[in-house]
Order: sequence, then C-alpha cells, then structure tokens
Amino acid sequence: MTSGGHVQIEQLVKHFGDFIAVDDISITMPAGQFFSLLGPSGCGKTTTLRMIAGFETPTTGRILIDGTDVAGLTPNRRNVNTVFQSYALFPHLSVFDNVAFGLRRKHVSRAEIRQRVGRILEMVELDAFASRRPARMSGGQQQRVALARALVCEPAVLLLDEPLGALDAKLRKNLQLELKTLQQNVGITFVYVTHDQEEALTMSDQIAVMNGGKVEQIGPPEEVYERPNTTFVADFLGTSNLIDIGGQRTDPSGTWVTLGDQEVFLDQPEIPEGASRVVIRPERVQVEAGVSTGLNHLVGQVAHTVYLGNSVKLVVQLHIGVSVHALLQNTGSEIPFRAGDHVTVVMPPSALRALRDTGVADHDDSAA
Amino acid sequence: MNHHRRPYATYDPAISRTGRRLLNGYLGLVLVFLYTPMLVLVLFSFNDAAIPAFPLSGFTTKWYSALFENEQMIATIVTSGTIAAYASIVTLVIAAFASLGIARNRFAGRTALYVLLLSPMIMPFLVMAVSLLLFFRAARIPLSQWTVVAGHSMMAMPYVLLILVPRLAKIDPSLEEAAQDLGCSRVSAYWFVLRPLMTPAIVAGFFVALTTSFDEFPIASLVNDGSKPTFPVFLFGQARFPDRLPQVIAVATIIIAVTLLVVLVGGIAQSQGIRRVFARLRSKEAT
Repeated sequence: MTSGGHVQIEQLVKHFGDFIAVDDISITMPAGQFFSLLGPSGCGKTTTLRMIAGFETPTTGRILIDGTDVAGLTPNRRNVNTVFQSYALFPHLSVFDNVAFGLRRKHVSRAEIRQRVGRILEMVELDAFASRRPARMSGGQQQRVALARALVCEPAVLLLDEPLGALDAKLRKNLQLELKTLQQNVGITFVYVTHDQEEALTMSDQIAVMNGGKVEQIGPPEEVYERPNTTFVADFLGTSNLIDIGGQRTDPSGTWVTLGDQEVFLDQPEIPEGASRVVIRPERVQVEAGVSTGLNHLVGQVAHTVYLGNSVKLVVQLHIGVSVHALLQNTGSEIPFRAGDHVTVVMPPSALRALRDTGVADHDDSAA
Repeated sequence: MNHHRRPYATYDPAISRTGRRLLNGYLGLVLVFLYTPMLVLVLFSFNDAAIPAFPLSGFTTKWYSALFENEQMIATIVTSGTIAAYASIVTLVIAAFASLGIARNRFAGRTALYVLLLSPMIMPFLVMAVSLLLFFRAARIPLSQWTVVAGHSMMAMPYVLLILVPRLAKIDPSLEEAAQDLGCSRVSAYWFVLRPLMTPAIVAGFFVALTTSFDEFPIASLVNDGSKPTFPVFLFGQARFPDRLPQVIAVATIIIAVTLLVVLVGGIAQSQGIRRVFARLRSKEAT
C-alpha cells in the first residue's frame, strides 16, 4: 500500500507553564516500524505523540517526518493520522461517513471514496456496519472504526494513543496481534503510546521507555527487557530484584561487585557510569536446596512461597540482608521448598546487570 | 446523574400508596394554578359579550375576525416579530462565540466572565431599560427599532448562553482534534463537527431568544422612538379602552397558543428529538 514515514525527533522540549512535560528527547523512528513510547502516566509519552500530530507546539526542538520539519505545521498539513484514546468518533455520522471524513476534506471523488472506504471497512471486518452509528457499536468495533478512519487517509505515520486502553483484557490481547499484523501488511510507521509493558513488548519493533519527560532507553523489546540500562527500565518492564552495590572492582576476567559482604561476578561488557545497583529477573534466579558455595552463590532462607498457577514465587531472605524473588516454572511436581528451608541462590553472571539508579516505577497498572 | 432520578414519583416503589396519591394531587394543584388563568382567557375570547364576566353569554368568533381587520395591531405584531428575529440572530451569533470561548478555553477569570455574561438575567428589565435609555441618550444614538434589537439581544444573551455552554461542554474536545487530524482547519472543524452537534441547542436557543424578545415590555417601551410600537406596548395601550378588551383577550389567546407551540418545538429540539429526525432523513437520503 503505502510506505511508512521516517520520524526524527531532535532535542524536543515541551513546557506547560512551570511543568516540563518533555525534557530534551531525541528519538529516531525508522520508516515502517512499529515504534512504542512506553512509560507511566505523566512521563511525557502522550505529549510527545501530540506534538508529532500537531496538537501541541514544541517549546524547542524539531520533529522531522521524512526530512521535513513539521513542528510549526497545523495538524491538517501533516501526513500523519491519529487513533485517539477515546476513539473520538463523530457521533452524528454513520460508520461510512466517519471513515470517509478525511477523504471528503481532501476532495477525493465520490467513486474513489466509496471504493477506498469499502476496502478499508472490509479490512477491519466492519463492511456490514457501514450505515450504523458509532454509539450503537461495541468498544472493539468503535476502535476498529477509529483505526479505519485514520488508515483510509494513507498517512506516512499512524499515531496511536493507548487505543486498546478502554477494552477488556481478552479483547485487548486479540487486538494486539491484529494490530501488529495490520501494521506489517500496510507498512505504515506506527507510533504507539502505551503504559502497558506487555502490550509494548508483544507488538513493537522498538520501544522507547520514558520517565519524567526523558527517554530512559530505546531498543528492541528483547533488548530493553534483557539488558535494561537503568533501574527504572528494569523495574517498569516486568519485575526485577534490585540490590544495592557496596563496591566494585575490575580485573582481566571481568567486573566484580560487592553485595553486602559478598562479591559476585558480572558478565556485563560495559558497566554504565555511576552504576549503583544490580538487577536480576526473578525467572533468572536459580534456587538450590541446602547450603553450598561457588561463584555467585548466596545463601539464605525461604521466607515464603506464593503459588501463581503457571509458576511458583519464592521469597528468599539472603544472609547479606536483602530478600530476592525467584520464579520457578510449575512443572507439575510438588513445590520443592517450604518456608524456613535453608537454600542457596545462584545468580548466573549473564543474568546480573549493574545499572544506574533512576528510581523505580510506581506500579499502578490501572493508570491511564 | 439523571440516571438516578426517577422520572415520576408514582413509579417509586419506596413511596406508599397514600403518599403517591398525595403527590399526584399536589401535581394536579400546581397544574391548575398554572393553567386556570389561561383557560379563563381562552374561554372569554369566545364569549359573546363586551365585558368579560360570568355567566358566559354565548359562543362567538367575532373578536377574532375583528382582530384580523385591525391593521394597527397587525403592524405591531410584524414589528415585534421583526425585532425578535433580529435580536435572536444577533444574540445567537454573539453567544456562539462566547460559549466557544468559555467552554473551550482555560484562562484566568473564565468563571468570572461567565458570571458577568449571565448577570443581566438577575437584573430587573426595567433597570436595564432605564440604563439603556440613558446610555443611548449619552451616546447620541437615536432611538429606533434597532436600539430595541440591541436591548433585547443583551437581555436574551444569558438565557441562550445557559443553553449553549452546557451543551458545548458535553462535547468531547478530541472530536475537534480528530477533525483537524483528518484535514480540517480549526475553523472548518467547528463547521463540520461542532455545528451539527450543536444544532439542537442552537434551535432551542433561537426560540428562547425569540419568545423573550417578543413579549418584553420595559425595554421595548423606553428605548423605542414611538413611531413603531411593539406588540406588548400596543397591547398595554389598548387595555385602557374597555370596548377593545375582548380583542386583546383574543390576541392573548393566539399568543398563548403560538408560545406553547414554540416552547414545545424548542424543548423537543433540545432533547435532540430533532437531531434524530434529521439524522433519519439524512441516512435515508444516503442509501
């Protein structure tokens, strides 16, 4: 169909009075990618999206779409379209007229409008609802109308502001896959704003994790998940054990950090400057019965176990004075540990990362 | 919030049967209080006697036929209608922009401005009429129908704002953003999205302004030049002549009928009945 646009954000800043919503961010969104802006509410992701759309004017900085600076253009002069969080469907118009709205403003011929609207409604499987009013449709259907209304204009970049936020969990899962497939078929660059880390991980080619108006990390999902640069990223995507570093030394074999009174070895090629904590995912923590010594072995006692269905969570109080969470796959056999058991926690060097401390996310999944 | 309010007390299962009867009786009394004087008026307009008093003497429509031959009276109705039409249009245009400013922007003193715009409503019309008269004198603006139009626009403004602003506040601002996103300028977004959604409120506002202007007396009496009196001013003058009273009664009956009709239409329009009717017509056209 169309080829996507290349979006280049350069040193973008947005102030609302004294409040700094977006604090000097630079992001490159390659053409044809599914790019997510991920972060908690108030992190600046929606403001960034609204500046790309043209609803907000940047305080300073540039937004280049295919090399042209659009920062000073009104929304109707930009080759981008938006899927709104509330869908913003026109209540006085039928589904057909909603989808045809953009084409009519561009004075596309009647015959072509009929053809293009028909084709896009078929694509989102709403061709049977063309004459219906948005109010008489389900949330999922309205969401697809909003998508069709934006896509029919064949923008270079499609902006999506938490488009699945208002839907229930099951429908959301289905639509995640649908959206991803759709994006691959149309080839348009998608800029997707979400606070749902799972959504971002499933759909995106790249994710920019934002916090407090700044970009913490940009990379493909597996990179930001497996190799977070900051404690915020580690904590916002999934859950993480964060342990304070006492000291740090480097020898020819690699880096050693002190946790409490014990040294552990890190298999990390580059330690970020000012790293003050190590992170390890609960699913990478290995737990062995009894007390044993070895590389990155830390002894402790099981504080309690939590049955989670597909896995079991162990909370282990380590002798160095911190507790870690370990996630064990549910293999059908009985839980091999009980509260009070003495165990050894093994942290594989490849699973440990030393990070700059940028705080942790306020885990509030209900936030918009 | 409306969802929690039961439409009629009679449907509330928490109210006893006696309580329900009392409430219904009360409702009946209120309606009698409101409409009996008007019914009496209607009755006398068809009464075959020059003096409106009981017992009734017989049925006649002669007051009505005399009325339609009274060219002077018809001229004043035309004057009032013209003034009301102009005043309504002026009011609506100004109120439309004012409501956009109030409902769509956040600025310091927004609430204060809204209150200021609404305050003519609580000011006695007579006070307004006198101050207008003084103003026009001081500004050396000759009194005419147009000064009445200006006064009536001022007077009707708060009523129209009270209809437009809440309606506008209920419309999701992201609809305008969506329109801009799809190729509209800010102004054409108003035209293609806000205007159709506001039509019921605009129609209702127009009728309210129309009826307010039509039966206004103090302003129409004080700031007009006297060559073309409005209908209420003329009517008030006629009341001095007892033999013309039956005609006045007949004309009052017609006004009651027309006003009820207009208010009814306005009410239906505001409850969006008209929008639905238009929508149905339009969707039939499309298919």
